Amino acid sequence: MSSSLILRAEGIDKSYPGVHALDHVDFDLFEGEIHVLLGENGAGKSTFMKILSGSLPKDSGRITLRGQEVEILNPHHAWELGIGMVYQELSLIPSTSVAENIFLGRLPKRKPLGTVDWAETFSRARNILDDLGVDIDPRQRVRDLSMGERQLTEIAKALSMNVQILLLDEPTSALSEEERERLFHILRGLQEKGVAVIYVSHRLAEVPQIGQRVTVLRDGKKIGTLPVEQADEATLIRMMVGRELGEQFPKTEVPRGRELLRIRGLTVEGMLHDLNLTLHEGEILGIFGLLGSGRTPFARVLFGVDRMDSGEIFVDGNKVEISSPAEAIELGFGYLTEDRKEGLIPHLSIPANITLASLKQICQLGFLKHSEERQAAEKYVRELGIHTPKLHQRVEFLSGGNQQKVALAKWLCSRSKILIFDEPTRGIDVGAKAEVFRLMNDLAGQGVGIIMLSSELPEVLAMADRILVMAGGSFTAEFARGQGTQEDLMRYAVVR
Amino acid sequence: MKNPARKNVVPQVLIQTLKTHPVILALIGFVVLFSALYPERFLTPLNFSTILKQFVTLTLFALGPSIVVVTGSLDLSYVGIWMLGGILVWLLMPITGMFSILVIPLLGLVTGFLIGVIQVKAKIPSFILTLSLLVTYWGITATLSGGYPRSVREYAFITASLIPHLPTAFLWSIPIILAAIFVMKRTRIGTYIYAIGSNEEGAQLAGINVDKHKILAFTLSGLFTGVGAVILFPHLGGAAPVELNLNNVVGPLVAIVLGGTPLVGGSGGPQRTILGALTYAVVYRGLLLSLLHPEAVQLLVGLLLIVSIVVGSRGLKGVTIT
Repeated sequence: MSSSLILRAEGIDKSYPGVHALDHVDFDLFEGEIHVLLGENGAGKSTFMKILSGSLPKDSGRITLRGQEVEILNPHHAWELGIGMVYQELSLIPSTSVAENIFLGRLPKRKPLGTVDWAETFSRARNILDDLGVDIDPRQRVRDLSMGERQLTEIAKALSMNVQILLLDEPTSALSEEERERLFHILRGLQEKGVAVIYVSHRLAEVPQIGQRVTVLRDGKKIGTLPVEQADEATLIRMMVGRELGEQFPKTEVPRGRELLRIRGLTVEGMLHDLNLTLHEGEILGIFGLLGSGRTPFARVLFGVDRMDSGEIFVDGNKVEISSPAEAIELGFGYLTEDRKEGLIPHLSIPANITLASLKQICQLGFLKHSEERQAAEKYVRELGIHTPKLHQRVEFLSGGNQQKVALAKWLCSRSKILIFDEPTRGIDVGAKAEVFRLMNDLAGQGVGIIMLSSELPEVLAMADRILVMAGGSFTAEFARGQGTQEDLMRYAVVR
Repeated sequence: MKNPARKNVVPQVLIQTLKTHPVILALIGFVVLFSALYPERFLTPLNFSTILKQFVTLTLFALGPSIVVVTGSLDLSYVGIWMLGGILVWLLMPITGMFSILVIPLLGLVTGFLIGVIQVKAKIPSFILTLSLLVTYWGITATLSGGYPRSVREYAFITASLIPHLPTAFLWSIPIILAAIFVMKRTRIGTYIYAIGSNEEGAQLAGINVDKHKILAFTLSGLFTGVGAVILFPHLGGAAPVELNLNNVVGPLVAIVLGGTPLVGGSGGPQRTILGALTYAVVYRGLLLSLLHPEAVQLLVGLLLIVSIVVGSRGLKGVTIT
């Protein structure tokens, strides 16, 4: 490398309770370099970026900027050091103009009253946008911009603060092909001016297009850094996958029963494309997809939360219309959301949460029967091993794993035959994971059909009888149990 | 007696109750304070009767709206229902006779239902919607009455004194209070309303028809206000007033918030509102007995509302108001 080192991170370490998010990671970045950071969900990419941008403190390690050791205290401090982060969830204010967003919090003032100098604001915004080579009117409101233009506004905002290091977290996930090309063009322009970029992505195809070097993280560890010339897709996939399971997930073989669910041509314009699947009694169907693959939108449509534009759904061989969660529950569906808080009622007690979806059966003429509620709750607290100081505890005070079990108990109580698990092990510790898997096995043994949506390769491979790979809103491959390897699945999950 | 563990049960229940209802401490504190300040005037049957009367007014106005607050919305229409209901009774009296009073619960029911439907369909803030409705009802009342308060004496028997020093309206309010608590704590609708206020998305995912139950909450609120206004009509003088008394609007709000129902919803409800109403009635009476100018009392009431909202939303140190 001819250019000089601008950033060096050595032995960066970060732990959360139960998770070693970053394990002594080394990383370096040269002036004018675009360095791609790759990794599965949960590999530690976001944590690393958050530490560099000052929104998370590191546990240990050293960060040197242009040869000087620095302690990045907070996001504002990071800006002052010349490190700017462009977030995945854009942090713009939709109802105000592009120029105001660029200078938010530092609008040029006019003496003597300290009023905003609008002429100056707009002309400076114009200059920055021109420098970027972007044709956006600084007076336009952000809500009228396309996703790509918003992304560029974010970058303009970062550049207005004289950023030398730009951190981009999955910048192309919401962009069209054309917008992506434009972003790449602009990034190359910045590169020529000496700005260094750390670019997080899991689109392998982008790596040779934009980067000079690529670093792969896995389980919080750095697997390696390669120049892009040596980083072909097969190599990168091999580096990304191959995570070891913390322990064995014992999978019980369950004979496949009759067909429970058949989906034909399920489509949501611009999001989900012609999805087809079948699910049988006692079967665990894994759907593997990375962030943004359309897993959760699919689950929400299936459960009646969102509408589909076309397609047919058959339950037990009968064609059904599902236009609300109430109807889905009636048909025997249960849905454990990715975010547990979404599916639980924090202020209500364990029994109230467990019986919430089946109150119609438990109530008589609309009056609650507390004794029956308590009996049902006691049964599931015992069967699922929910640990709680008292039965009538509010669920907000339970641990993550126990909340997950209460959410599951709700669907057992409503006698669901088709259970959708969206990232069932997100944010729960290893012990609770094993228990959730045991419960899934038990349920399959009782003839329940399970759709397991997951971005955790080892878990899908260990648990599922059949695996569909999802990418860009389509199913891109299907594997029977024991057929696909981690590499195979990942290859289909990153195709574009 | 034989069980040594029993010894600890009573204090534990007591501590638990105080932890979840810290307003009880405030209530006891205020009673002790005022009794000490002016023992001659505060600790009298007449004074307690006055406090109870105010408690009835606050409670009957606040019960219904406290159901709506559990969903995370606000219903300010109560005074409007009472005013317009009163003037409708006066108008109908010559035609329907003693049945006229039934127009008030009917008006409450219809009003609540309409607010619910508009709020759910138009998705506008319930605060503005119900405040506008309050002003509209006030306007209709003033128009129908020709600008004068109209008195209807026929229903004075409802609140005729039965037991000395015990307002009859208080006796009437007991079954209404119990009904409101029953609806919220012992029916499916009540559970659904708590669920919606605590986590609307989660309630929907559990198969609850969120819009329907939001409309139901407003309808219940209107109905409870309407039934309560049947008692309040003679209780507050048996006349349909034409002037909007801001105290009647603010007082019940203070009762709800002071009782410990957070404005963000999900917890609290009628059982807490009655505690808030009692505390507020005691404070108000105590302040009136003091040397403070009545206007200064208003100032303190305003401050009390602000403080209880802040405490209600952030919690006190060591106390979780949930």
